[in-house]
Amino acid sequence: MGSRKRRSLSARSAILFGLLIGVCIIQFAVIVLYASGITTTPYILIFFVVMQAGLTYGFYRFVYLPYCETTRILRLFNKGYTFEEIYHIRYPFSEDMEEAIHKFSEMINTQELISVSKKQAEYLALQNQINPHFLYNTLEGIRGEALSAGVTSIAEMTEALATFFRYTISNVENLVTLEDELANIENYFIIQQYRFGERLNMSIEIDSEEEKSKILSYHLPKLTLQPIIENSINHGLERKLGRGNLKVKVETTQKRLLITVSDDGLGFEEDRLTELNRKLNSTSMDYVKPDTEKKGGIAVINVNSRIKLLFGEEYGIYIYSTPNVGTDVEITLPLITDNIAGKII
Amino acid sequence: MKKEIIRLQNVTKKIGDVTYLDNMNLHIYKGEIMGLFTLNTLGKEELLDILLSRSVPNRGKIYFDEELLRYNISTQSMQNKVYMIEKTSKLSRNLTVADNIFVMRRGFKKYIIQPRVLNAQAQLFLKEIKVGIRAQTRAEELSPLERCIVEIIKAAAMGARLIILNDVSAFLSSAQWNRFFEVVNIYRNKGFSFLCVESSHDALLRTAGRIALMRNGNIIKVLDVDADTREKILPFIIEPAVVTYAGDSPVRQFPVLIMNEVTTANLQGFSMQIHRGECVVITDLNNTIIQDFIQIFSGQLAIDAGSLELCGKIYRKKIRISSPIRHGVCVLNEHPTQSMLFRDLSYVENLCFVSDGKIRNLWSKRRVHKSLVDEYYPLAGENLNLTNITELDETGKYDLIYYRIHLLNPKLLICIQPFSGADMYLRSHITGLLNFLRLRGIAILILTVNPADTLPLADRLILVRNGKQTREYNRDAFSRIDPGELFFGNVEQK
Repeated sequence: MGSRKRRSLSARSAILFGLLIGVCIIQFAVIVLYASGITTTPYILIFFVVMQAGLTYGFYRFVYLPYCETTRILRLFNKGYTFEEIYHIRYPFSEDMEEAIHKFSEMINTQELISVSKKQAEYLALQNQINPHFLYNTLEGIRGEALSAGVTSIAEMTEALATFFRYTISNVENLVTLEDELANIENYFIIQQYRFGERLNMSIEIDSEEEKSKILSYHLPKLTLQPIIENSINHGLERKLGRGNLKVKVETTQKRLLITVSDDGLGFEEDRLTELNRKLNSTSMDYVKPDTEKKGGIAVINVNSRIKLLFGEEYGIYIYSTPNVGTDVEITLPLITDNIAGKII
Repeated sequence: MKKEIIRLQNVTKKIGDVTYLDNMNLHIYKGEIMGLFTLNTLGKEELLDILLSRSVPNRGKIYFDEELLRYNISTQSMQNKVYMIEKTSKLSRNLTVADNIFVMRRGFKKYIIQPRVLNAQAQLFLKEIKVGIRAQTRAEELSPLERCIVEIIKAAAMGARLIILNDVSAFLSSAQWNRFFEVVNIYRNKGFSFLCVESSHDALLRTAGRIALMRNGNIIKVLDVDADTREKILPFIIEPAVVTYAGDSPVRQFPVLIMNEVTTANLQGFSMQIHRGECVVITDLNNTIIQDFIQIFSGQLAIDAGSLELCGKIYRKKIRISSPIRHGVCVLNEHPTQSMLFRDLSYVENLCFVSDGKIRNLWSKRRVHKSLVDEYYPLAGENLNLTNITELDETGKYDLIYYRIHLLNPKLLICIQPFSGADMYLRSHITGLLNFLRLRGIAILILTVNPADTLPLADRLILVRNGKQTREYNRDAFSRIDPGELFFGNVEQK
């Protein structure tokens, strides 16, 4: 508690103000002594002037600069650019403010926001799910009929569709391995290829072949990649004339997993891109509201919010795009091994 | 697994109402040469200032070594970790190489300096990279290449982890560039990271592992450099229109300048000629002869041997060109907007500044003045009425300088690196201005260390090595030149 008292700006201001008043009173007394001719040495006066200058600097260094930092964090919080920073304010205005923020952080439990996000994902899944087992059985039935009729293409497509639904509709809470996510998007791509044929091409590139198995075992939220691939196909490549290429690139650093999904499709207009990146930079739950605009990009915002709520503001999605050149969606995630994954959810 | 040296996340920098960096993301790995291709210059200086801890962003986060730098301490945390090499030297001219590397750095606390020890240590660094620089050499005696190499060693000695190479292709010739990047690659293999900032992509394609394209204060694309990168970059580039010229018109049969076996301290029997309306580009592969050309054609240097025929008048040994402007020669310096404009004069006064010697009573005859304004109004528009030329943007300033030359109408214009420091859009604009002068019959001699941007304009390209012509190409042979091999060589990343 003692250290907290010293940290708050009101306490610091009070101490410095008290010292300044003290120095001023003594200085006034010294001036009286000069005026009455009791002393004539200038050193006392110089000493007090230096004291005053020191106190003024102290006020600037220990009150004004911390005040600016705190105000800035509050301003950024109000505009929606930061969320967690407010819990780590180094110089609260007062002890009460610090306690209020602490209380606030307890009330607004991040887990609740995460559950809202999850509910949204579950809801989206449920919209397509009348009876999953009935759907799987029917698809298996179609596959069997196709095989017995010798139409292997229909059998393969049906199998891919059944596998895709199993992965998508089953439990949306879990973190999955990168291997599973990549397998899912490859499966999704097989389905899309029946629609686009040779027009669509996809490649997956893993940065370090030596560490491939280790990289594939890292965890990430389920259905992180598929909505982005779907967006790239629907908004970037579908209306493009000629061949469209999709590339998924996976890189790792000591603390991060970087996945870049690139397409050479139609791209975004600059204004739309700026707006989208601005939304991706803020931790907003607006997308949960039913009246949110339904333009392309909603899935990306959803995935981004899930990542930010689960892992913090330093992770998420950023989009690079140029009209008629293509779009790169850069996903930044923490490196999550088996051990950590169990603790998160 | 890669290691990230620096990461900018959603960085925004505003000064006044202008947003210089807008929600920008960029990361650089350890042991990587990252290229930053600036399509325009908006935000470039602000980005470099943030990387060099000269300013902090208004919003966004910076991670160094994957650790977040807090707003108020970011300036201290990155100090000494980032070093920039640019045209202006950061070495003390009068100190030796060893002193510059070890003494002139933050954190050097010894009170007694032992030159012998420092020289021995510096020599170890220099020997390692196999350069013939002596530790006792004074910094002012170093060539631009040697100076850059010493700055890399200095950066390494002071503990920098990221070295920014700002527009290095503008002042290093192609041969020097190749040698410089051999040294850069040695340090890259040791784990140092480099951010190579260029306004032209040719240089980056041969040196960088990745290239980030920056426009309007934001990174718009990051490309891994491979065989297809040149093709991928093309949609982002405005290539200046190739100038179509009416072939050998009669006026071009009269040579404006004939140099015959001209010898100076750096020119070794240099011969060439240039005709009216012709544009010749001289590429100085060693970066040695440009200063000699400037001095000869501004009347400060006489040739040691050979002859020089300028507009019919012959200059031989020990005879300087007197009053070059009167003899129809005009020299346009590098970065002319910084050195050739007068802030206290109005637009019209700047426009007529050197023409008053040519047109009698220019300032007193209102009729002449009015006719000048009428002639240049369709070109300069409302800018012609400006009394304060600092209100002009960079394009407007270049316009004013080139219109001044147009008004002066010299027979020969000598341009020193006309595209230096210009972004892609400005380069395209300057190409248009040079062509505008050429169509008036002015012969243009461009001296450069990097000919890539001048080719759309050039009729001939002369390569000079050690003060002598090595090769000459006519316009129809340009398409057969491999730009990589010719201008930068193939610097392999090991």
